[in-house]
Amino acid sequence: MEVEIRLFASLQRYRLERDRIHLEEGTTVAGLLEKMGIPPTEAAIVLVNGRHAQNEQRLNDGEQVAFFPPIAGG
Amino acid sequence: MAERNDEQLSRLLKQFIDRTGEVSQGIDALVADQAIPKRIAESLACDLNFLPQRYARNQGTLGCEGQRQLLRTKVLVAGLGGLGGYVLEQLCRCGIGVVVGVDADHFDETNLNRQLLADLNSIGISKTEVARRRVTEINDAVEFYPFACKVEDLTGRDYEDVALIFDCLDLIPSKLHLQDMGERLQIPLIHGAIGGWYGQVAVVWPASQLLTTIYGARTEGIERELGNPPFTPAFVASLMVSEGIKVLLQKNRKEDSMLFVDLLTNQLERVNF
Repeated sequence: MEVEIRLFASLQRYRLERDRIHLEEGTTVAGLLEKMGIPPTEAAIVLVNGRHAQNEQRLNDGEQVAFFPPIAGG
Repeated sequence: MAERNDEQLSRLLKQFIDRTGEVSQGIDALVADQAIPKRIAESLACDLNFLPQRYARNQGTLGCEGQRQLLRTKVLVAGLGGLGGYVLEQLCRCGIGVVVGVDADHFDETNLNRQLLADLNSIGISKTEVARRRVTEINDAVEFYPFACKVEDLTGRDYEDVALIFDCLDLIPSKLHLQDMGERLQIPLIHGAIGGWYGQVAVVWPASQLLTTIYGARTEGIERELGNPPFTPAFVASLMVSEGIKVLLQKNRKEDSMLFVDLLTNQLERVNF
Protein backbone atom coordinates (compact mmCIF):
# COMPACT_ATOMS: atom_id res chain seq x y z
CA MET A 1 0.00 0.00 0.00
CA GLU A 2 0.99 3.63 -0.41
CA VAL A 3 0.39 6.67 1.78
CA GLU A 4 0.96 10.34 1.05
CA ILE A 5 3.35 12.21 3.33
CA ARG A 6 3.19 15.89 4.35
CA LEU A 7 6.05 17.24 6.45
CA PHE A 8 5.85 20.61 8.20
CA ALA A 9 8.50 23.09 9.31
CA SER A 10 11.77 21.53 10.49
CA LEU A 11 10.55 18.03 9.57
CA GLN A 12 11.04 18.94 5.90
CA ARG A 13 14.61 17.73 6.36
CA TYR A 14 13.20 14.19 6.17
CA ARG A 15 11.54 14.88 2.82
CA LEU A 16 11.48 12.00 0.37
CA GLU A 17 12.12 12.22 -3.36
CA ARG A 18 8.38 11.90 -3.91
CA ASP A 19 5.59 12.64 -1.47
CA ARG A 20 4.29 9.05 -1.45
CA ILE A 21 5.83 6.07 0.30
CA HIS A 22 5.25 2.34 -0.13
CA LEU A 23 4.44 0.49 3.12
CA GLU A 24 3.62 -3.05 4.13
CA GLU A 25 -0.01 -3.71 4.99
CA GLY A 26 -0.77 -2.99 8.64
CA THR A 27 2.04 -0.47 9.13
CA THR A 28 1.35 1.92 12.00
CA VAL A 29 2.22 5.62 12.32
CA ALA A 30 5.17 4.59 14.52
CA GLY A 31 6.33 2.16 11.82
CA LEU A 32 6.14 4.91 9.22
CA LEU A 33 8.21 7.25 11.40
CA GLU A 34 10.83 4.53 11.82
CA LYS A 35 10.95 3.82 8.09
CA MET A 36 11.44 7.54 7.36
CA GLY A 37 14.12 7.88 10.05
CA ILE A 38 12.12 10.48 12.02
CA PRO A 39 12.69 10.25 15.80
CA PRO A 40 9.24 10.09 17.49
CA THR A 41 10.22 13.04 19.72
CA GLU A 42 10.50 15.24 16.61
CA ALA A 43 6.93 14.55 15.43
CA ALA A 44 4.69 16.14 18.06
CA ILE A 45 1.47 16.08 16.09
CA VAL A 46 0.36 13.45 13.59
CA LEU A 47 -2.67 13.83 11.36
CA VAL A 48 -4.13 11.06 9.24
CA ASN A 49 -6.48 12.41 6.59
CA GLY A 50 -6.63 15.67 8.54
CA ARG A 51 -7.58 14.07 11.86
CA HIS A 52 -5.32 13.82 14.89
CA ALA A 53 -3.84 10.33 15.23
CA GLN A 54 -1.80 8.34 17.75
CA ASN A 55 1.43 6.51 16.94
CA GLU A 56 -0.30 3.12 17.28
CA GLN A 57 -2.84 3.89 14.55
CA ARG A 58 -2.69 1.51 11.57
CA LEU A 59 -2.50 3.14 8.18
CA ASN A 60 -4.54 2.28 5.08
CA ASP A 61 -3.79 2.57 1.40
CA GLY A 62 -4.27 6.06 0.00
CA GLU A 63 -4.30 7.87 3.36
CA GLN A 64 -2.52 11.16 3.85
CA VAL A 65 -0.22 11.46 6.87
CA ALA A 66 1.01 14.83 8.14
CA PHE A 67 3.73 15.41 10.74
CA PHE A 68 4.29 18.61 12.76
CA PRO A 69 7.24 19.29 15.08
CA PRO A 70 6.89 20.57 18.68
CA ILE A 71 7.08 24.37 19.02
CA ALA A 72 7.30 25.96 22.45
CA GLY A 73 9.11 29.31 22.22
CA GLY A 74 7.61 32.52 23.50
CA MET B 1 -20.02 60.19 48.41
CA ALA B 2 -22.78 57.68 47.77
CA GLU B 3 -21.92 55.12 45.12
CA ARG B 4 -23.95 55.60 41.98
CA ASN B 5 -25.15 52.85 39.70
CA ASP B 6 -24.32 52.67 35.99
CA GLU B 7 -27.59 54.31 34.99
CA GLN B 8 -26.98 57.31 37.21
CA LEU B 9 -23.37 57.56 36.06
CA SER B 10 -24.48 57.41 32.42
CA ARG B 11 -26.89 60.27 32.98
CA LEU B 12 -24.15 62.28 34.62
CA LEU B 13 -21.71 61.48 31.81
CA LYS B 14 -24.26 62.64 29.23
CA GLN B 15 -24.53 65.96 31.07
CA PHE B 16 -20.74 66.34 31.14
CA ILE B 17 -20.45 65.51 27.43
CA ASP B 18 -23.23 67.99 26.58
CA ARG B 19 -21.58 70.67 28.71
CA THR B 20 -18.03 70.21 27.41
CA GLY B 21 -19.06 69.30 23.86
CA GLU B 22 -16.41 66.55 23.73
CA VAL B 23 -16.59 62.87 24.62
CA SER B 24 -13.05 62.70 26.04
CA GLN B 25 -13.58 65.82 28.18
CA GLY B 26 -16.89 64.46 29.41
CA ILE B 27 -15.17 61.19 30.38
CA ASP B 28 -12.37 63.03 32.22
CA ALA B 29 -14.95 65.18 34.04
CA LEU B 30 -16.87 62.10 35.17
CA VAL B 31 -13.67 60.39 36.36
CA ALA B 32 -12.71 63.49 38.37
CA ASP B 33 -16.21 64.04 39.75
CA GLN B 34 -17.03 60.44 40.71
CA ALA B 35 -13.55 58.97 41.34
CA ILE B 36 -14.26 55.98 39.11
CA PRO B 37 -11.74 54.15 36.88
CA LYS B 38 -11.34 55.74 33.45
CA ARG B 39 -12.14 52.43 31.71
CA ILE B 40 -15.53 52.39 33.44
CA ALA B 41 -16.25 55.95 32.30
CA GLU B 42 -15.21 54.97 28.77
CA SER B 43 -17.48 51.91 28.86
CA LEU B 44 -20.39 54.11 29.94
CA ALA B 45 -19.65 56.39 26.98
CA CYS B 46 -19.86 53.32 24.72
CA ASP B 47 -23.28 52.55 26.24
CA LEU B 48 -24.37 56.02 25.11
CA ASN B 49 -22.94 55.34 21.63
CA PHE B 50 -20.22 57.92 22.23
CA LEU B 51 -17.10 55.96 21.35
CA PRO B 52 -13.93 57.51 22.82
CA GLN B 53 -11.80 58.82 19.93
CA ARG B 54 -8.90 56.47 20.66
CA TYR B 55 -11.16 53.57 19.71
CA ALA B 56 -12.61 55.27 16.61
CA ARG B 57 -10.82 52.86 14.23
CA ASN B 58 -11.96 49.87 16.28
CA GLN B 59 -15.61 50.77 15.76
CA GLY B 60 -16.28 49.16 12.40
CA THR B 61 -14.82 45.87 13.64
CA LEU B 62 -15.73 45.77 17.33
CA GLY B 63 -18.70 48.16 17.51
CA CYS B 64 -19.71 50.23 20.55
CA GLU B 65 -21.11 47.18 22.33
CA GLY B 66 -17.95 45.13 21.70
CA GLN B 67 -15.79 48.01 22.90
CA ARG B 68 -17.91 48.33 26.03
CA GLN B 69 -17.48 44.62 26.75
CA LEU B 70 -13.71 44.76 26.27
CA LEU B 71 -13.37 47.75 28.62
CA ARG B 72 -15.17 45.68 31.27
CA THR B 73 -12.92 42.65 30.71
CA LYS B 74 -9.89 41.42 32.65
CA VAL B 75 -7.26 39.19 31.04
CA LEU B 76 -3.95 37.68 32.15
CA VAL B 77 -0.83 37.72 29.97
CA ALA B 78 1.68 35.08 31.05
CA GLY B 79 5.12 35.96 29.71
CA LEU B 80 6.09 39.47 28.56
CA GLY B 81 8.84 38.53 26.11
CA GLY B 82 8.59 37.85 22.36
CA LEU B 83 4.89 37.02 22.15
CA GLY B 84 3.81 38.78 25.35
CA GLY B 85 5.18 42.20 24.38
CA TYR B 86 3.17 42.28 21.15
CA VAL B 87 0.10 40.74 22.80
CA LEU B 88 0.14 43.37 25.56
CA GLU B 89 0.57 46.18 23.02
CA GLN B 90 -2.45 45.08 21.01
CA LEU B 91 -4.64 44.40 24.04
CA CYS B 92 -4.04 47.97 25.23
CA ARG B 93 -4.91 49.37 21.80
CA CYS B 94 -8.01 47.16 21.72
CA GLY B 95 -9.03 48.77 25.01
CA ILE B 96 -9.08 45.69 27.23
CA GLY B 97 -10.00 47.15 30.64
CA VAL B 98 -7.71 45.24 32.98
CA VAL B 99 -4.52 43.33 32.20
CA VAL B 100 -2.54 41.19 34.62
CA GLY B 101 1.06 40.81 33.37
CA VAL B 102 3.27 38.02 34.66
CA ASP B 103 7.01 37.60 34.08
CA ALA B 104 9.89 36.91 36.46
CA ASP B 105 12.66 38.03 34.08
CA HIS B 106 14.65 41.18 33.37
CA PHE B 107 15.47 42.33 29.83
CA ASP B 108 18.86 41.38 28.43
CA GLU B 109 20.66 41.92 25.12
CA THR B 110 19.47 38.64 23.60
CA ASN B 111 15.89 40.02 23.77
CA LEU B 112 16.66 42.99 21.48
CA ASN B 113 16.14 41.15 18.18
CA ARG B 114 12.47 40.41 18.71
CA GLN B 115 10.88 41.59 21.95
CA LEU B 116 8.82 44.75 21.47
CA LEU B 117 9.39 45.93 25.04
CA ALA B 118 13.18 45.46 24.83
CA ASP B 119 15.32 48.44 23.84
CA LEU B 120 18.68 49.84 24.89
CA ASN B 121 17.09 51.63 27.83
CA SER B 122 15.29 48.58 29.19
CA ILE B 123 18.29 46.23 29.55
CA GLY B 124 18.49 45.07 33.17
CA ILE B 125 14.99 46.31 34.05
CA SER B 126 12.24 43.89 35.01
CA LYS B 127 9.87 43.02 32.18
CA THR B 128 6.81 43.80 34.28
CA GLU B 129 8.10 47.30 35.06
CA VAL B 130 8.82 48.09 31.39
CA ALA B 131 5.39 46.66 30.51
CA ARG B 132 3.72 48.86 33.13
CA ARG B 133 5.32 51.99 31.64
CA ARG B 134 4.37 50.97 28.11
CA VAL B 135 0.72 50.40 29.04
CA THR B 136 0.55 53.91 30.52
CA GLU B 137 2.08 55.37 27.34
CA ILE B 138 -0.44 53.64 25.07
CA ASN B 139 -3.71 53.77 26.97
CA ASP B 140 -4.18 55.38 30.38
CA ALA B 141 -7.62 53.79 30.75
CA VAL B 142 -6.11 50.28 30.95
CA GLU B 143 -5.47 49.04 34.49
CA PHE B 144 -2.28 46.98 34.60
CA TYR B 145 -1.37 44.68 37.48
CA PRO B 146 2.23 43.42 37.28
CA PHE B 147 3.41 40.18 38.88
CA ALA B 148 7.20 39.83 38.76
CA CYS B 149 7.14 36.09 39.38
CA LYS B 150 6.74 32.75 37.65
CA VAL B 151 3.21 31.63 36.78
CA GLU B 152 3.71 28.72 39.17
CA ASP B 153 3.89 31.28 42.01
CA LEU B 154 0.45 32.76 41.28
CA THR B 155 -2.46 31.68 43.45
CA GLY B 156 -6.03 31.10 42.37
CA ARG B 157 -6.86 34.50 43.85
CA ASP B 158 -4.56 36.25 41.37
CA TYR B 159 -6.86 34.99 38.60
CA GLU B 160 -9.97 36.56 40.16
CA ASP B 161 -12.35 37.88 37.44
CA VAL B 162 -9.88 36.90 34.69
CA ALA B 163 -11.92 36.03 31.58
CA LEU B 164 -9.06 34.90 29.36
CA ILE B 165 -5.43 33.82 29.73
CA PHE B 166 -2.75 34.42 27.09
CA ASP B 167 -0.01 31.78 27.08
CA CYS B 168 3.10 33.64 25.89
CA LEU B 169 5.47 31.43 27.88
CA ASP B 170 8.53 29.61 26.55
CA LEU B 171 8.63 26.56 28.82
CA ILE B 172 6.39 23.55 28.21
CA PRO B 173 5.97 22.66 31.93
CA SER B 174 4.84 26.26 32.63
CA LYS B 175 2.44 26.15 29.68
CA LEU B 176 0.94 22.95 31.09
CA HIS B 177 0.65 24.57 34.52
CA LEU B 178 -1.28 27.44 32.92
CA GLN B 179 -3.55 24.93 31.21
CA ASP B 180 -4.25 23.29 34.59
CA MET B 181 -5.10 26.65 36.16
CA GLY B 182 -7.40 27.47 33.26
CA GLU B 183 -9.13 24.13 33.71
CA ARG B 184 -9.43 24.51 37.49
CA LEU B 185 -10.83 28.05 37.24
CA GLN B 186 -12.80 27.46 34.00
CA ILE B 187 -10.91 30.14 32.07
CA PRO B 188 -10.14 29.63 28.36
CA LEU B 189 -6.51 29.96 27.31
CA ILE B 190 -5.06 31.42 24.13
CA HIS B 191 -1.97 29.33 23.44
CA GLY B 192 0.85 30.65 21.33
CA ALA B 193 4.31 29.28 20.57
CA ILE B 194 7.11 30.20 18.17
CA GLY B 195 10.33 28.72 16.82
CA GLY B 196 12.25 29.87 13.73
CA TRP B 197 9.91 30.60 10.80
CA TYR B 198 7.16 28.67 12.52
CA GLY B 199 4.49 29.13 15.14
CA GLN B 200 1.19 27.84 16.42
CA VAL B 201 -1.93 29.30 17.98
CA ALA B 202 -4.85 27.54 19.64
CA VAL B 203 -7.77 28.23 21.92
CA VAL B 204 -7.50 25.82 24.84
CA TRP B 205 -10.99 25.42 26.24
CA PRO B 206 -11.16 24.30 29.89
CA ALA B 207 -11.05 20.49 30.22
CA SER B 208 -9.89 19.99 26.61
CA GLN B 209 -6.30 19.23 27.75
CA LEU B 210 -5.25 20.33 24.27
CA LEU B 211 -1.69 21.24 25.29
CA THR B 212 -1.21 17.78 26.77
CA THR B 213 -2.28 16.32 23.43
CA ILE B 214 0.08 18.65 21.56
CA TYR B 215 3.18 18.28 23.75
CA GLY B 216 2.82 14.86 25.38
CA ALA B 217 5.86 14.34 27.58
CA ARG B 218 8.11 16.68 25.57
CA THR B 219 10.00 19.38 27.42
CA GLU B 220 11.27 21.50 24.52
CA GLY B 221 10.58 22.35 20.89
CA ILE B 222 12.34 23.35 17.68
CA GLU B 223 13.06 26.86 19.03
CA ARG B 224 16.08 25.40 20.87
CA GLU B 225 17.69 24.78 17.50
CA LEU B 226 16.10 27.48 15.32
CA GLY B 227 15.95 30.39 17.78
CA ASN B 228 13.38 33.16 17.33
CA PRO B 229 13.72 35.79 14.58
CA PRO B 230 11.93 39.20 14.81
CA PHE B 231 8.98 38.64 12.48
CA THR B 232 7.51 35.40 13.85
CA PRO B 233 6.46 36.67 17.32
CA ALA B 234 4.75 39.73 15.82
CA PHE B 235 2.74 37.55 13.42
CA VAL B 236 1.80 34.85 15.93
CA ALA B 237 0.95 37.40 18.65
CA SER B 238 -1.47 39.11 16.24
CA LEU B 239 -3.21 35.79 15.64
CA MET B 240 -3.38 35.23 19.41
CA VAL B 241 -5.01 38.60 20.02
CA SER B 242 -7.54 38.21 17.21
CA GLU B 243 -8.42 34.73 18.53
CA GLY B 244 -8.71 36.18 22.03
CA ILE B 245 -10.99 39.01 20.97
CA LYS B 246 -13.21 36.46 19.21
CA VAL B 247 -13.46 34.39 22.39
CA LEU B 248 -14.28 37.47 24.49
CA LEU B 249 -16.93 38.68 22.03
CA GLN B 250 -18.26 35.18 21.35
CA LYS B 251 -17.44 35.27 17.67
CA ASN B 252 -15.78 31.86 17.29
CA ARG B 253 -16.86 28.24 17.42
CA LYS B 254 -15.94 26.14 20.42
CA GLU B 255 -13.72 23.53 18.81
CA ASP B 256 -10.40 21.89 19.56
CA SER B 257 -8.10 22.99 16.78
CA MET B 258 -4.75 24.64 16.25
CA LEU B 259 -3.46 26.98 13.60
CA PHE B 260 0.05 26.09 12.43
CA VAL B 261 2.01 28.96 10.86
CA ASP B 262 4.84 28.51 8.37
CA LEU B 263 6.29 31.87 7.37
CA LEU B 264 8.94 30.24 5.17
CA THR B 265 6.40 28.86 2.70
CA ASN B 266 3.57 31.23 3.75
CA GLN B 267 1.21 28.45 4.76
CA LEU B 268 -1.42 28.38 7.48
CA GLU B 269 -2.60 24.89 8.33
CA ARG B 270 -5.55 24.17 10.59
CA VAL B 271 -5.08 21.06 12.71
CA ASN B 272 -8.26 19.50 14.11
CA PHE B 273 -8.11 17.35 17.23
